[in-house]
Amino acid sequence: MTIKKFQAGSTPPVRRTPGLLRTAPGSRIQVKNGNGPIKKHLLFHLNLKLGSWGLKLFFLLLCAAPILQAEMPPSEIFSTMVVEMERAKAQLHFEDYPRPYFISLRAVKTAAWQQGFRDGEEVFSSHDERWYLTPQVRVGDYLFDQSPDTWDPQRSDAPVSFSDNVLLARHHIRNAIDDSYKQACSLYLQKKAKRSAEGVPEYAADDLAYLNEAPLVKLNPDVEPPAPLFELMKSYNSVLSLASKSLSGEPLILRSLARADADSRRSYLVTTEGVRAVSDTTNYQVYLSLFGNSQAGMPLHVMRQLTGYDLNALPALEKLQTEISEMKKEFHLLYASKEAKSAIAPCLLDNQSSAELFLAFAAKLEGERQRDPQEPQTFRGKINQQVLPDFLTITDDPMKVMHWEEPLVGHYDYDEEGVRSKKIVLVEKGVLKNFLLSRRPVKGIPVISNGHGRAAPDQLPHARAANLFVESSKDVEPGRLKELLLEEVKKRRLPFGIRLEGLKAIPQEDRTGAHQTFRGAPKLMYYVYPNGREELAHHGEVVGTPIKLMQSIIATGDDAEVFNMLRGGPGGELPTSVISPSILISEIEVQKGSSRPVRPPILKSPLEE
Amino acid sequence: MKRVIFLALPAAALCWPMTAHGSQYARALETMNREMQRSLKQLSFDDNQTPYFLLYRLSIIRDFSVTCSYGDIGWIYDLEQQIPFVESRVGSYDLDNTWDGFATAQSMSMGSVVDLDTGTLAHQFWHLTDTAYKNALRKYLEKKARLAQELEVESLPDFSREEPHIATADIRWPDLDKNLLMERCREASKEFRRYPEVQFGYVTMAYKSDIRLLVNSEGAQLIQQSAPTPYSFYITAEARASDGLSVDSYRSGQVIEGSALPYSESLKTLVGEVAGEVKTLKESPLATPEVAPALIDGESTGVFFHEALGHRLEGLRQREKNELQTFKGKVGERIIPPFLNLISDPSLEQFAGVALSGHYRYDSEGLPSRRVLLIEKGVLKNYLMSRRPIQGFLNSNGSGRSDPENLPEGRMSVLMVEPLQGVSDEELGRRFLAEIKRQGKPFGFHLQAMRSGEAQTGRGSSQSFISRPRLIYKVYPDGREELVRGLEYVGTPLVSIEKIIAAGKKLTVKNAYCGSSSGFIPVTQIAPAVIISEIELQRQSEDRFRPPILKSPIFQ
Repeated sequence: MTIKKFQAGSTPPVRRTPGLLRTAPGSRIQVKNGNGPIKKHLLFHLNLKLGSWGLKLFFLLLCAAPILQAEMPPSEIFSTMVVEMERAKAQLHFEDYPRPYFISLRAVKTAAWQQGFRDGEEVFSSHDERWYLTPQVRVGDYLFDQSPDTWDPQRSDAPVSFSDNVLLARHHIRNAIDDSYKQACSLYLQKKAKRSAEGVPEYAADDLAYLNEAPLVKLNPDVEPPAPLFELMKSYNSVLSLASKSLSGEPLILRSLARADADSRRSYLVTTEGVRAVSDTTNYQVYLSLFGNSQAGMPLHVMRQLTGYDLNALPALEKLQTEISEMKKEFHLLYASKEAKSAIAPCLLDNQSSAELFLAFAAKLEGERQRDPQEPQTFRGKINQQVLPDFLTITDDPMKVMHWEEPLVGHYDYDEEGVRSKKIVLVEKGVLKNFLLSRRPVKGIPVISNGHGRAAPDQLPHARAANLFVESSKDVEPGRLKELLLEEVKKRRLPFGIRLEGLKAIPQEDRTGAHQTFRGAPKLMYYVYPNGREELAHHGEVVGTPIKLMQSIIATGDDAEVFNMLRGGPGGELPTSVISPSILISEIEVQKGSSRPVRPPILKSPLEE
Repeated sequence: MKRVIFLALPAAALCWPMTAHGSQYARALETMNREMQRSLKQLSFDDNQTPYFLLYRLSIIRDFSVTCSYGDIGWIYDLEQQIPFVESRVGSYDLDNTWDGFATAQSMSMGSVVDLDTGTLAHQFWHLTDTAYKNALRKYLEKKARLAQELEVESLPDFSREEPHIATADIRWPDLDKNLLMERCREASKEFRRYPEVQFGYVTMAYKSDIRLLVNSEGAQLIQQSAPTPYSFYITAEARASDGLSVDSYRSGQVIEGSALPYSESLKTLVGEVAGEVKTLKESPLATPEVAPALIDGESTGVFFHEALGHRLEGLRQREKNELQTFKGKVGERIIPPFLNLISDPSLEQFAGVALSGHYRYDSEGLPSRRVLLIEKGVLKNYLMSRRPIQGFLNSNGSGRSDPENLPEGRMSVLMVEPLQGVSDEELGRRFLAEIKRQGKPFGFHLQAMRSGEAQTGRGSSQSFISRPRLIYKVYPDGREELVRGLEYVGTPLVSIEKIIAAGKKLTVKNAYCGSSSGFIPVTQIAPAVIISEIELQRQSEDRFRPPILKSPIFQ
């Protein structure tokens, strides 16, 4: 996968002319926010005079126009944010409510592009630009503040814009901080009330780790602007259109889609501890999808997802066509395959499937989850205990830009709390050594963030994996791994083993009191018979309990690869890389998937005639 | 679909006229039959067909319970209830209104018992039939509409054809002496005054009995008493450990005759045991989630088989598309270790001197109960069948069960796990320690008295189950046991059952209640203790509260 990313500290692949984020005249832009006051007043005026038709006409005009408004230079954006933040720190207070002890402000300008093609024709497109402002006001102190025990996935929708009207920008920031402060006061007292009734849980720890390093100051972006997203993506239309044509045209394929999503962001972070930092990121995802039904009427969906960050190196048509011909092959195999049935068997997971499993494992090592009463806290209190087989070591290294000449989308120089990124060892030779930590401390380990506080533009940071490396000291070549699978099958006199490709985790209810299980659906699932013959099955899912599943890994392949993806979770959808090998698991349970069969088309497709 | 089993719920009740009502019930049955015949012939409108099948059921329920705490009566529950129920089917046995496994039914709960001889009874059934018929018609047409798009891969009838059965002998309500129950309950609960470490202690004594009248359009006519163990008691104690987490323990029992309820002295002993357990639990350490070998006692094995296996052998779960169909098409395959049989036997009234609450003569569809060998030497032989056919099993085996208000489905009743090479308790203990050592584990778990559990059998969820033991001990390789708290057993069924490596020969009986889509029904498990080579325990949900600040005035 060719992917690159503009990121503070990394060398940009192409230098571009300095300037603000540009848009080609005439491109369609849905302006959701941040369009300044003048237009809004005008809009109101027209609405009164012309009624709803006039309003629609005006919208059309507005959508057809480029953004004309001037934006403040970075230095001015910083000073605008700082002045309101400091004013709040010094003065924000009422009655006998606590004063803020910490404030941070994150302002992110994003440009997002989405476009879909089917059979060569555009079927949808949306392009928008907007600002996000996420304030964080804390009352109490580092030891006990309002942070709720259970993660609150609230999103900030505070309006803000940084046009030439400084006072207006400050007005919006004032509003956002004011809301956040009042909410913090309320949460603080609720939490005190809860403690008085419930007592202090044994896993309670400080609420905010001290910033254990000199506050980061980085006032100028490395690259002047984020990529001129809309221009680049527009020029990609022809590739997407051709790819969508290649996807269709077969009688068994009922529907297909080629879609590209891209965004570029510039993020400004200031905190009352002195952090002043700007960073740029870009990301894209190209999706290719085929839909149809199997012979037995079960819905089939074959998909590819190509993730990267260098908008100048979007996947070329040849690359997409290679993927498409593989997808079609896969589709036809699945069409004729049997529906999976429940079984237990040893299982060989390809490297992509194991990436998914290890990512689900890493999610259980997020610091916040070790102190949340609604989380299973599976690994709390297990530091220095064996949690995986002793041949496995797992590290997370967001500092790494490339691995084996593959770019890593999870890379960053500092996290969304302004903490510099660090390489950490999570599991060493099977023994748990550390958790993924934001500035939310975990009892029993040093109260320092390890630079994993990550967040989407409108969310508060949460510890998350970035570049997750799975290393094994018991790796064999993939052919040997299959031999080991067959040996296991024969040894236990089982009718077959299982081989999985492209497993995807299915989100599970994951709180105490619930069934804490891992559940995943593979792209391809094969029964592997003792003589080595493989038989494909569709609509199978695998399921297991987390500790047992991870401990039943018996060997790994020497075929580790880089997998780049956008990954949802607390803190939002984040670019994440996993480097992992295929694995052999002594036992996994297979169950049927959740689709219902549909009656296949009654007449033949005209394409067949 | 999530199914829950609650063991040891307080069941309950006692003191109605004890005369025989036989002739009155027979007359009521006649009234029901007359009304049903009228609907069968005449109920239709426009060009719609009349129902091809109707079933009328009348449940008359008597429910009494008393709960006492520290020698005082806390509350009394005293209820008489009558629930008429109508099942309606249009179409044919091959294709009818059955939707997601269930036909259409209508029921209503009457707060008091109406005179069975007046016209009110016929009026109630007339009203319910009208609604049930219209709903059935609508479901039937919607189903035909759905089948225009959806594919039925298997062509199976919707409803099995069965011989009708008639049993209309006289029936008596079991005796009930409310005063005796109240007195015994009060006396026993006084005993909690000796245990300051208990925060709340209760004793409940209960009577619950119901008589069911059933007629269907095929000719079935039944009058039966359908609560084989009307009397029950329940002792429970709760407290908070110093970390604010709750701990509790209980004892329960169900019997046929009121005279078989334990006397005050033995109840006091049980209170002492429960209080002692709570005290020990309060002081026991919180454990962390682990994977380890486990010895689980007979009571727990019963719940484990009920959740992990029993629900997945219900006929409905093999056919409906929203079910995971774990054991579909596996007849003749080995699905559990070969040294175990699994039997469902609702015809069994007693086992080792204990009355079985899961027993019945006729199921909720009016078919006689019988012994069904589900698994023989580990090999799947049969399912729990109602009248909803599945591939290879086109008839009911008398396992169609429901509560008074719901449609029946194949359910468990008396489920017996039969060890073929059971070993003595001592030998089982030795093997367990040997297994811990063999695996090089620092400890194993001993799970006792699984109190409740739940299983997920629907698609779109993971086919897993949870079982919650009352007591969990860590067992060290030298045999030392340490009580811990805060954990529950989570597993996926196929992997878990496959890991049973040995079973004891002594069987334990446990009466319980089980809730599922056809309602809450009494069930019994009979099972030996087993060793499982590997189980996973997860944290229980937290219910934290600061323990009381002052001592209770009772203990000052």
